[in-house]
Amino acid sequence: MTRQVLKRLAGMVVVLLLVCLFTYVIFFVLSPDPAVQICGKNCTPAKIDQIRDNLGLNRPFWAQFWTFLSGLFVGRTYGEGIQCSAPCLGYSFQSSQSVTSMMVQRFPVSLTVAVGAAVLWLLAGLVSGLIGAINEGKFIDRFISGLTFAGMSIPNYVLALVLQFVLVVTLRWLPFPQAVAFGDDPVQWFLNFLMPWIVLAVGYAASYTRLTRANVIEALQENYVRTARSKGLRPSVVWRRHALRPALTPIVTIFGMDFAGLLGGAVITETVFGLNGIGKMASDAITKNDQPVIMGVTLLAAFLVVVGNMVVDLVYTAIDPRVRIGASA
Amino acid sequence: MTNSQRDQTLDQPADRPMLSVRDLTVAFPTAKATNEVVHHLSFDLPPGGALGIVGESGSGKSMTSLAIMNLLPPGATRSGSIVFRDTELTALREPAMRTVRGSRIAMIFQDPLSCLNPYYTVGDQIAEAYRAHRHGVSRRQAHRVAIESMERVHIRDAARRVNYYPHQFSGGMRQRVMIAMALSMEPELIIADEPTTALDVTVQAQILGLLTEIRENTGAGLILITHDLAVVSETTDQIIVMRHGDLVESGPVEQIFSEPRADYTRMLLDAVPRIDDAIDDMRTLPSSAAHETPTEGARL
Amino acid sequence: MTDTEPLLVARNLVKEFPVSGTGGLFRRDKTFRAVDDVSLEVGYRETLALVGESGSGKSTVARMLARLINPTSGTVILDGTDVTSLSGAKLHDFRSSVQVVFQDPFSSLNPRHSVEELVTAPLRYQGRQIPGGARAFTRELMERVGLDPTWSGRHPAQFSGGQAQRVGIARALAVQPKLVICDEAVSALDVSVQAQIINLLRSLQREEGFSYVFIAHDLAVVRQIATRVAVMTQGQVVEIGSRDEVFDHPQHEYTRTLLAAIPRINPRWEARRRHLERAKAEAAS
Repeated sequence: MTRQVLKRLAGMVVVLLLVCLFTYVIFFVLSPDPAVQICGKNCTPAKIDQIRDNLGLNRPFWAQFWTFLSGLFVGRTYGEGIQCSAPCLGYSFQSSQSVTSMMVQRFPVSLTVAVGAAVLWLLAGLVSGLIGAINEGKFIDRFISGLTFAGMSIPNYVLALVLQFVLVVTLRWLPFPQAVAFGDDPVQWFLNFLMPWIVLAVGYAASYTRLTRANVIEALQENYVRTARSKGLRPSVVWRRHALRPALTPIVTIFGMDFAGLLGGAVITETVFGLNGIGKMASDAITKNDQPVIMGVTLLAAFLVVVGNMVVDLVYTAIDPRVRIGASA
Repeated sequence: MTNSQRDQTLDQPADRPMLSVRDLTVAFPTAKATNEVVHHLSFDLPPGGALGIVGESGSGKSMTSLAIMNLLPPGATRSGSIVFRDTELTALREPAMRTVRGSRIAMIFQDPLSCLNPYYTVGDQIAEAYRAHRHGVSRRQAHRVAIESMERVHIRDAARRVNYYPHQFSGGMRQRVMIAMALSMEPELIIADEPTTALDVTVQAQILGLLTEIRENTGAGLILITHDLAVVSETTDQIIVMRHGDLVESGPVEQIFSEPRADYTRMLLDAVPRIDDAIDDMRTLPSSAAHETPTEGARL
Repeated sequence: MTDTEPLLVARNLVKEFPVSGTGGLFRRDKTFRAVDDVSLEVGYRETLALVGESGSGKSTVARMLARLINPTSGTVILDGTDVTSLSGAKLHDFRSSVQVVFQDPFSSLNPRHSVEELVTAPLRYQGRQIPGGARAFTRELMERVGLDPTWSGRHPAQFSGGQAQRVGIARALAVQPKLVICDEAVSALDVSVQAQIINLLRSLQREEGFSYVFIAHDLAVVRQIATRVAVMTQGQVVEIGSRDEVFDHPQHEYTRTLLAAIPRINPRWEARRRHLERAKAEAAS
């Protein structure tokens, strides 16, 4: 088991290095010259050259990549005296801040959005999936199936606008969003986040409903469920131990990946609701062409996916004995 | 069921059958028609007897066993009478039937890998059945029963292997685990549905030997359901032959094999490939497939 | 080439499979030797049965003989040609010389194709002319395997297990193979249907003159069809010989165990049944 974990960790480090390299290459090759942007309107070739020199952009690719990599671990200095402490993902000259500190400020918002939405979609997805499976083919099952279809087809931004219009403007069930900290007014804070949570959760809840329903129906047809019934176990035990456990275990995998993906920022939802999270930061950076930020967010997302993948693998190994213990023939 | 009740039922005269099935019909009604898979089947199993139910695919032999256990797939209906000891099983409600299932009638299925839950140790799955029927039994006691049951089916090193998961066993060992699970409750009747079909021939011989040994040691009755005539001929003393849900013929094993009355039984016996001699001009079977219907011909 | 030389010769076949997860980052996975130095010959018009229990390696050998997988080492020679390293057009030729009939006809026949499409597919795939046209060719083949030729437009799902297996056999025959490999071809069939398919396989061999490699775990079936038998266990052939030699005078301990384990119908009951039936037949005539 320990060996497996170490092997996975080593593999993960390699993947992350490759991710860094590829991301760096893409931005190195494809992006417009940052020196031109920094230089501004009244620019002369000499000035550009000086900035390039300052930023080390005239050095060979590998040297620059090495500086970038070591910056991640020990920090680095830009030009004359702009400090960027480790882990340094880059420096946004447009907002005069290191990318890392921008992220640290905004991460709590994205985390709140992701956690809240995840709780909602897990609850809704598992419960309605179970209801569908128990009542397979009946009206309620077909009704839920119809809802999931709608949930999967509605684009996020449409749902966000419709919800805002209906709940806030027309029905006035929810107050207008105001910027408050959790400690100052927990109720307002909660209501602020309620709509983003719902909007994000709907699509996931729909697909989790379908997945749960399909898995449970499949598990109920397994021969070991028949064995469990033939042993005279109570239906509640048959369900809990022999249908739900096998049906829900694969969902762990998908959930881990979905959640990790969301931590990197929900671009559309955050933008529509004006939440200052990583997603909003990314979309702002794209409009302003603030490259270090775009690259930083890309790296963060990649990092989260790789780590999420690894965590899911380890968790799965722990909960599925067929993976944990090989056959001993 | 309390112990005193159980003692009474054991005291009944030896000639009263332990299981008596009368006019059993299993059907799958659909909007258009009713598809009957077992028609008016009747048979008796004497106490401690071993009955073989033989038939090809689609004969209704497995449905018969599931009907006895009231474990028919959704949508199936059953009618007729199934009297086990003094209890009319068809009149039992589900909670009462649960006390019979596993505890007094145990069942063993064909494919032991898919019949064991991959997420729990075999000990867990044996103990689970035991604890379901014996109230107030501690985990530790149930665990000990699991080890004892595994020892009774000759699984070596049971104290350690009780903590193995199904995938860590070979096919034959898994079937032993299934049998151990059935045995843990000391059932009065064991129904084995194709218990050796998925196993290698040497393992099959061991498992059949084990079933016979258990019958001799515990006095439990056995219903063995199989497509393999040679298997029933060695293991059971009464046989019923089924085809398309009908009873074709029934009787003592020797009579069925030496003086079969039904043409279908004779045809089946002719079709069994012999290990001891090669019949070069084999059988008088039709060589064309024209008479086969699409439901026949495969146990796939 | 003379008829005294065997049709197929396999020499020192070895197949190793990697065991996943046993290697490290820089170390290769350990290997499992599924077939360990197997040599055998198949003569013209002969049926060589490969028998053994699950995991004995018999199916792996069959798949190497048909070049469905490549051996780790060893050679396969068909009709004097080393086929182990064939590729391109020559491999195509080899593919029509050796055909395989699998255990489950439904999973080895494309459910969306009609019998006519299924049976003529190997020929069309190889770009060969279909003698007499697809329709007539299919009907003739179907008659030979005991299927109603008017069913040539039917799809696999419309057939029973035995009928579908006949379609599988017809497809194998379409390219006029020299060797037909039956991989548990009758194992999944009901006993009455199984007997018919065995009869069919035997009469086809008499008519067409090809050879069989017959893979089976059921020794009673093997006794009805084989001319020679090779017994495999743990990747090795432990005994090979003529059918009656192996069945009546098994040399290897494993063969004896295997034969002893087979359930038998009491021979006295059998004899009595035959006697009674003969008496009845005589009384009737």
